[in-house]
Amino acid sequence: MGVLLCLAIIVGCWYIFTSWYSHGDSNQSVTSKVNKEVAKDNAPVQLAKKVQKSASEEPEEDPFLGREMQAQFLQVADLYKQNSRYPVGSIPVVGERFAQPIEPFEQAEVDTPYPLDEDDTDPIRISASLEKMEYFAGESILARVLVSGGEVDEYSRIEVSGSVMGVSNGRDTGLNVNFERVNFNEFRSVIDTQAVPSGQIPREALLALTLKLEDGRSLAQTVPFFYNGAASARVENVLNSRQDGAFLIIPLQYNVFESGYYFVDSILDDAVTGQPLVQLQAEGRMQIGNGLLTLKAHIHALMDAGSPGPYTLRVVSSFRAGTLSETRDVAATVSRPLGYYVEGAPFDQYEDTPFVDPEVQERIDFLEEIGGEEQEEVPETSQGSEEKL
Amino acid sequence: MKVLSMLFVTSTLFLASVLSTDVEAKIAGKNIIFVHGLQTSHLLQARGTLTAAQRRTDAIEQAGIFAPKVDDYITYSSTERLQGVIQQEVYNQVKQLEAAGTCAQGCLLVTASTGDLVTRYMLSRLNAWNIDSSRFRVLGVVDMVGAGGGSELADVAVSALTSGNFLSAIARSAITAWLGGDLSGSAPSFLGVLNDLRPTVARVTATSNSSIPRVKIAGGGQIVALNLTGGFISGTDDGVVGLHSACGARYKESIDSCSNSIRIDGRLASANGPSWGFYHNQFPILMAEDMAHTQAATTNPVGRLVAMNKGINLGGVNINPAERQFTTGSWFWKKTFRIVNYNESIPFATYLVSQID
Repeated sequence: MGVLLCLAIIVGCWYIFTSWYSHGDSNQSVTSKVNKEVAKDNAPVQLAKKVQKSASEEPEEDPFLGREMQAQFLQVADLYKQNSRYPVGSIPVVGERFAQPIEPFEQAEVDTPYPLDEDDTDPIRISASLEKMEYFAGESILARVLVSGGEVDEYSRIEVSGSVMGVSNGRDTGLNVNFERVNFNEFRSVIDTQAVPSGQIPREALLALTLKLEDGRSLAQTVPFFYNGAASARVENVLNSRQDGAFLIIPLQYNVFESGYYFVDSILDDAVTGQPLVQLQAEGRMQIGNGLLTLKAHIHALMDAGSPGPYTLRVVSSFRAGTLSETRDVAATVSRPLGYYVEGAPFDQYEDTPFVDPEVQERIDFLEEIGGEEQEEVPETSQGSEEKL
Repeated sequence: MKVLSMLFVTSTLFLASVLSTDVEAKIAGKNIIFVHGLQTSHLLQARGTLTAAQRRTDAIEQAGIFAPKVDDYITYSSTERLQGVIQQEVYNQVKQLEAAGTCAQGCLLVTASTGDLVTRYMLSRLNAWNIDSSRFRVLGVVDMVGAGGGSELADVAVSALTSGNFLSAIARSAITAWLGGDLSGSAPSFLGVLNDLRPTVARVTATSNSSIPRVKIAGGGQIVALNLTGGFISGTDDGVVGLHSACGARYKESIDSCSNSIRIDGRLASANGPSWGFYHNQFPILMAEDMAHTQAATTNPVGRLVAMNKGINLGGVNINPAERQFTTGSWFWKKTFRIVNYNESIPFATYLVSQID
């Protein structure tokens, strides 16, 4: 009983305190509650002086009163400034999901509910997916259909049929696909493209599915995918990496089958731990034959990721950009999907200079100007220049 | 739908005429380029019949209250594919802007809906197109109710329309209301940019990291004619796109806020936000709980505005922007909200422009 009484007193005191405290908070600008918790930034100076003044005196003046949106842009300028410590082609990715290998059936999945009416709170759902989004001639296309929701008792009587459809060489194509039940709510199909006549699968195709239910309803679903007759190029190897100023230069060697403008997206892993470290991207023009795209890892990205190497470079995707007269990009293949060895170097062998891009600085200035900041002269601090990724 | 369109156009033209008399284009001294969203009316027209003049007229209409601030437009035919006719149309206009020097001193791009995806694609191709970065300089992008991550409605529409099987009466109503007409039996190629708006396609399109900052404004409202569409979209949506898209989330997720610590109604509490962050250099700044997809540039009320960013660090002092914080209830029912100090009777677009002009 005594314990309960004490508890009641404590809770009562807490309630009185919080009521009083929240009353003080209610319906007033938060800005007046300037606090001095964080003291680490390189933010605009003039407004800061104003704020510091109002902080040291009675904070009557609210620097953002009436310009709340401007404040948001100032904050974006701050966040953008933080991001821009690294070139966009060299970003630390420790812990990021996109640095993990793409799981089968993850990328090309279409999940749709089929409510009967507005009151249908547990509608049947069809999740149709392909093992991957981008296929090459000769590969097998693996398709999966999962059924959930609705009446589970009906699942055993569901029938699935499908076809690959699209437009190839100006005419509609259609290729029937058979599905087999592999589980009470799962159906699978394998399309052997080696057995399919040429031109039957267009470069951009839809796997069109029809699910027939016992009650006579038929549910339609389509999954888009890309089918390349041939690869535009093949990533063959990584040539010797080398340091150049604040960068680790990683030349990526291609065998180019079609000239054009290429993009590459890759992840640099620690070769020992397998930990993803830095996302590296590059782009550039390559001619038929031997081609090179150069990845550049900035020292600060490597340092922040915490590994001087050696590394493994995984090419996530590479493609030739479709020209203006083409309707699709054309993917490149990779000779070693598990990665290429890349030599590292001790951090003290790099030039430890911050990355500064004049165009980025101009964008920061613009965001701050929208935010109501007057611009000051920015001293030259870096040798950095605009990187083409 | 037609009534809605009439109301939209009437209010837009009225405001445009009022504003155009004394509003100067440019924001922070820079030109504004508007990239419109999906023009559903295009889907009802035969391919190849849209003129550049008609596209521009449609774009001006969609820019709504923003129109007087816009210096130029980048337009495209919604009945075409992004990699195909649209990229050619966009390329031609960027070359014109480059030649005219419209963005030589820097531009701010403002996009709506599908304009988010089109702009992401365009910016990723500037080097491939040999665009002179000193003649076409993009300093930033504002994406309103962006569809850069696609919309599940496009999945439903393409599946239903290509099969001629509308799945259910509710799906038929939703798709017909969204697209403004019955397109059943249409070939996938006829559905144009809708194919690019499918999340699986949109999320493998133009995935390069960009050095251009993009601010995102998201809505969570519904309009009456489209109140059936939400059931097909993951998480909270504005009737056409889910927050995973409008917030710039890196993955398609079923989310109810752009933040993990503030909800779309402004409540300070754990929120179902993106688990895996945002696209590089994409920054959600605002959520409007009642803003439906087509309302960002209209006079319709958008309800509370909720800012994403908690505080700003100025000269070593951490402060919160002028916002209103209040509590409701008490004891265990006590809830604390933080919302932007915004007069909800002012059209959102007018407020936004007045703030950043």
